[in-house]
Amino acid sequence: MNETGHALPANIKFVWRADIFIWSFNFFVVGLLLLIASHFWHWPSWLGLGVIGLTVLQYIIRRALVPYRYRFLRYNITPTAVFLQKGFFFRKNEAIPIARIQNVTLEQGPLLRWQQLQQVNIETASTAHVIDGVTASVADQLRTRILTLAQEARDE
Amino acid sequence: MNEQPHRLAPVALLILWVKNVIALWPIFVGGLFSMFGSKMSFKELLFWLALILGSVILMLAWSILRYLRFTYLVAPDGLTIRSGVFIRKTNHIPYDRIQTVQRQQWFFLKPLGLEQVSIETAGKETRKAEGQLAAVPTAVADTINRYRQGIEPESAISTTTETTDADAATRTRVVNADPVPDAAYKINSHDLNQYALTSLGFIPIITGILWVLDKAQEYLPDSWYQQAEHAITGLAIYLLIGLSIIVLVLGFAVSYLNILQKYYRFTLDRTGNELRTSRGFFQTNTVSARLSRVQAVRFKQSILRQWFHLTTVQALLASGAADDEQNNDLVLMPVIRQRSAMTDMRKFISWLPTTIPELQPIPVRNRWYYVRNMVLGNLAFIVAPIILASVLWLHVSWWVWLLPVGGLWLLIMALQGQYAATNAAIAIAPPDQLVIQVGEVWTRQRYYVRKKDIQAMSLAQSIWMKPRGVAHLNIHVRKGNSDQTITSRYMKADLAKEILSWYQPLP
Repeated sequence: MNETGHALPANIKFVWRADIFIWSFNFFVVGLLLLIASHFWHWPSWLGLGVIGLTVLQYIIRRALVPYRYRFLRYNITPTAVFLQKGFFFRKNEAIPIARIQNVTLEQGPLLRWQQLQQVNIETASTAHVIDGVTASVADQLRTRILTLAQEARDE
Repeated sequence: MNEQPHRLAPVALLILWVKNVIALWPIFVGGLFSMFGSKMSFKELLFWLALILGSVILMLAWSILRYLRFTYLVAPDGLTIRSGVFIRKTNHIPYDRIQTVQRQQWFFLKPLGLEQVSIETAGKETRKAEGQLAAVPTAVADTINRYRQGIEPESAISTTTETTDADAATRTRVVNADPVPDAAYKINSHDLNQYALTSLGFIPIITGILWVLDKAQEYLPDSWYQQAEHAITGLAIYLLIGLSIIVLVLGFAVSYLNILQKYYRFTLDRTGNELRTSRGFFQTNTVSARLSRVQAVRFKQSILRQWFHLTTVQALLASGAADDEQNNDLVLMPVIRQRSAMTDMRKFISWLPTTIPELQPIPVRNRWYYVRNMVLGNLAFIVAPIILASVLWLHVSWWVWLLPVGGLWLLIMALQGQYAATNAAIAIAPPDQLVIQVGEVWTRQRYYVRKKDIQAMSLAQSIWMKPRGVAHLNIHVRKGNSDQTITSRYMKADLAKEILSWYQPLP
């Protein structure tokens, strides 16, 4: 199966990068605090250095993977189902029939608000699926579409 | 009959208190340890006694408050439960929202005609049952069940008073009030015996006994051991053999008796759209569930039962309080002949296919992936770290022993991988069912799932699997209040795509 469906808006990459940066920064600060603590209380210094090292490492890896993640992430909403596809080396295709969807929530943190995007969370009776970010108009469209279809499916 | 809100039976207060006291076990354990552990001054002893006594009394007061605040009302429009000491809570449950009713009756409540009733609705959020009545007369659950089946309380009462001079309509109601099941099964002693004998439950019990023996060695005073050793130096080998036999027999007996008491007088019946199972010697456990709550049916066979052509049938319920088994699955049939399993089960769950479709096993050349993954996974995460740790930190040359043990472990895991691979199979049962068979930990499990109960499906394929035409298929089913993923690994990619598009036509 090749990539089918829509790519996310390109500015989701900013959001991902910012998100990765903020998380890494937090852990970096934790590492620094550990270093300071080990200076005062004579803890082993590898504790802080280890945290900083791992943080930097994961930052580089995740940051480098952003284009890959973006390139191979696809969503597709047909009249009957939501399809999600991610990854190239480890590809996963998910199919969620709209009739099974219990709940659709739109979520917008400060980063997404800044880029005027919305995250779509889809829940079935047992699973949860996420579309990382779509434009507000698409998100609303999606939600009403899914909810009407879900309603119709339930009324049958 | 139930216009006034009722309190629970007074014995509920006792149950509540005992439960609350048991929840304080760390205090008792702490007290016990410090009493035996060291020479304790009288003051310290007094402190612990006061602490224990104080908390027990405090719990009693708390339990009384909670007991007095707790009322329930079985009204025609639903069950209302009021509870809470500081935060008052009123929970109103309409009958048509109730999905499962579980009744648990300990043997000491039987003469009092009391039982615990747990009521669950379709809500997904809470882990606990919405309504739990710790000790109520058995008539309460009967009344709730009658309301659920849409029978008016008047007719329910009229069956007991037997003074009906009513028309045909009420007569049918009266018949409904004490419904004759459409299908019923009662375990016979032979089946129960077979079930208990073929159980592998003795393995964890034996492990448990060995662990206790090991711990006992640490805690018993050394002088005992020296004396004992002195007395039996020559007999050591006989003692060892004797002890192993005792452990084996004991483990087997405990497991056997446990299963006997658990499934004692097991019954399954279906009335309309309602399934009911009942079982237990010390505690009678009755579960009533709507058939619509059954998300999948699982036929489960340990390798031992596979040899005897016996199978266990379980239902995956969309309900948390289905069973007190660790995994929330409702046992529909403890043990049944493999040959007649399908026809017998169809009486209870009519949507099961009439004939077992021919399952498509995974291609033979894909089997070694299972073996490879098992061996590599165990090598990387269990065997290699243990051996490495023993080389680095233990000065005694333990690794000499660990190496062959590790090798044996890997061999067993390889065999298990082979077992899983030979048992993995999948098929569409026309028109709308999927049959998936997996082999896990020497147990073959076959799932029957209807398309409408599959919540989502996903196909996973790595870039290396693609040229070989291999893929994994994940099927998500609701189980309890969470998700059960059934995975068909390393199957033919074409078949996986076919099943995915059967489930949901691809765009």
